Amino acid sequence: MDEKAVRAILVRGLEAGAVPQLFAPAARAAFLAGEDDLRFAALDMDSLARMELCIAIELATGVTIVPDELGSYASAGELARVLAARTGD
Amino acid sequence: MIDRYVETVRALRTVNQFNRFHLELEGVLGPAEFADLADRILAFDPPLPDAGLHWARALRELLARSGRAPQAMPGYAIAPMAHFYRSGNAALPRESRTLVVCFTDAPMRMMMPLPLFLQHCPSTAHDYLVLRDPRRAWFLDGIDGLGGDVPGIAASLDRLASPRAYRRAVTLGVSAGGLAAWWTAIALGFARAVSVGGTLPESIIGIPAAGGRSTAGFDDLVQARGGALPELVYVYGEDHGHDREKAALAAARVPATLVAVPSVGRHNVFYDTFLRGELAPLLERLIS
Repeated sequence: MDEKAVRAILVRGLEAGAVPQLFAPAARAAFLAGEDDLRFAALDMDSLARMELCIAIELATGVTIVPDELGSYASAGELARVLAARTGD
Repeated sequence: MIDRYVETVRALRTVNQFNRFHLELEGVLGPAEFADLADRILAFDPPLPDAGLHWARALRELLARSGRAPQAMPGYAIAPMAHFYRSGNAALPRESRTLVVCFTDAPMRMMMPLPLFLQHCPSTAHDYLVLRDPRRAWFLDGIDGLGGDVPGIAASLDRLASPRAYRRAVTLGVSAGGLAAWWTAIALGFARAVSVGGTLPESIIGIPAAGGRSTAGFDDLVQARGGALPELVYVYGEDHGHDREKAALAAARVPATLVAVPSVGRHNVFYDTFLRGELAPLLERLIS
């Protein structure tokens, strides 16, 4: 799975948790295109949003990331690169 | 219920699988149903996995903060994403009851686990129909089994829930469910429609996630009603800048009553008021 595909999975997961920054068209599009990043510290993510993101990742990639682990990634882009590496391409 | 729970969790392997299963249960169980399940989970021998015990204990404690016994509101599905709950004296006929049609947010909640929400809702002679949108498309693509768009949902509700037979009917939509709540109430001639930090057409149109969906039907309907509208209420946290802006936009679009909840700085008005012990009076005010 390439990084672009993983970024799309992350966007769906963040939308499932109703993370408001994902509804800003420019930021969303730039992240999907790999032109910009989304820093987790700048996202309004409550415990439910973290759960929804991890569920979406596991369902789509088979990789298990638990909510407590998200804090070890500075950004969604960094997480996408790690997941892309772990899923093959 | 406990037998099905135990059977399911035996097959779960990861934290995310447990979370997903628990979120599903939180989306459909009534207060007393949940409390009974939680008590059985906590007492089960041999002990169930920690993830289940933690979930049951945490939500049970939140439920207890209401200060009253879990409300008996047995629920059943009228469609896969539509559940009906009855409170109070079930023998009372519809003409003595209030119907509350609830439209959930993007995570398919009423801003909190459903047992916790229903526990704080008015309990005398109210029926609650809770609608969830797994497509996360502001209900604009409808709900499986209940129509392919918001007018389709309204037509199905008219047929399946008989709102006209009730003493009073209102809608209550939170966040992504706000627009559908107003739209449905206008279409069916309900007494009141409440949107809590709800999406407006201008929040949807033009954003990539909307995928070209249209809300023109809402504006057309408002125009067609020519002022004969339900009481449209927009609720927001007084200190939440974005929702305060949306409230102003809402009032410019339709004749809406704005309700600013004092000292709430988050989008999640219900959870903040719950933490302050003020959720039940707020819901009483909004629904009754």
